[in-house]
Amino acid sequence: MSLLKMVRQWSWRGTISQPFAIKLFKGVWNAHPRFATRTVMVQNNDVDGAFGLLNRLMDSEGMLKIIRRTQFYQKPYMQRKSLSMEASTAIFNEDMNRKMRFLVRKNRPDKHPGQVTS
Amino acid sequence: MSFSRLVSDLGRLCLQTASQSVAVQQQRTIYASIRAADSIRDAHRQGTRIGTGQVETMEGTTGAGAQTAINTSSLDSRLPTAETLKQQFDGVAYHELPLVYIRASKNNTLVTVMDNKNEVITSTSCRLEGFKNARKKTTIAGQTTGVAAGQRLVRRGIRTVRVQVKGLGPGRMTCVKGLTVAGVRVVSITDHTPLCELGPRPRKIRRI
Repeated sequence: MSLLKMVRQWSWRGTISQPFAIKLFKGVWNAHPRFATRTVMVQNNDVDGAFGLLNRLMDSEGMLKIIRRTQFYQKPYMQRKSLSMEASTAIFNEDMNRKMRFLVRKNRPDKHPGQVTS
Repeated sequence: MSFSRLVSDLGRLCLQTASQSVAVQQQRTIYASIRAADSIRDAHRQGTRIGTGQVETMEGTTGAGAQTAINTSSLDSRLPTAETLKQQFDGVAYHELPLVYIRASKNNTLVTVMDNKNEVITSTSCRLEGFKNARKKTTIAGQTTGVAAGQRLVRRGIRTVRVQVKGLGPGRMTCVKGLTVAGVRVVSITDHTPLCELGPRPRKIRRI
C-alpha cells in the first residue's frame, strides 16, 4: 500500500455538527441574569471607551470567535483545515512562549548575557 | 547507480553548455518576460493561501484584538456588581431605568425604547429616518437613528437610559454614540448578541 493511500485511509474524514459548542440546553444565554454578564458601565458618557472595553472582553472570552464561526456553515474540508491550523498554531505558540520565557527569565547568574561591557 | 551518475553528469554538462551559450548570447535572465514572472507570483500566492471560507468584516468591534490599546484601568469599577442594580442614577434605580434595545444587523439598525414595565416608549429605524436600501447599512444611518431616538427621549423628559445592543453591524457603536449626542446619558451598555448553542445549521457560504 502506498503511503498516500495509507494516509488517506487513516486520516480522519468526518464532519462535526455545527455550530460548535458544548451543548447544555436551549436558551442558555438567557438563563444568566440579564445585566450581570456582558455589561459595561459607562463613565462620564464615554461610550467609545465603554464599547472598547466591552469588545475587548468579548474578544478575549471568545464570543466574537463564536459569532464569526456560526455565521456560515463550514464544509468538512474547512473543519479539518481549521482544526489542523489550530493544532499547529497551538504547538508553535507553546514552543514560542517557552522560548520567550527562557529569554526573559530572571534570577540568572549573569544579569546581561551576551553583553560584554556592564 | 552508474547510469544515474551518468545522467547527472550529462545534466551538468548540458547546464555548462547552456550557461556558456547564454554567456555568448546577449545575457538573458531566466525570467524571460513579465508574463512568466506574473505566473510564478500567482502560483506562489495560490500555494500560500489558506482557504477558511468567507471572511466577513465584523463591524462595531473596535477594541477587539490585541493590536489596539484600550484603557483597562479601574476595570472593576467599570463592571456591574450586585449593588449596581439598586444604585441610583439621576434619582432612578438602575433596574427601573428605561431600556434602549438596539438591533444592529448587517443591513439595518432598529431602535426600540421600553420602560421597566416592558411598554414601548418609542421606536425607530434607519428606514424611518429616511435612509433607503443600501444606505441603511452605513454608520451614518446608524448614528442618525441614534440621534433621532435620543431627541424623542429628551422630548419625553427621559435623560438617563441603559442600552442593550444585539448583533454586529454598522449601527452597533454609532447608534449609542448618537444617543449621547442628543443629550441622553447612557448608564450601561449590555451586549445581547445571540450565540447559537443548539441552533439550526448555519447558512451556506456566500458566493460573490
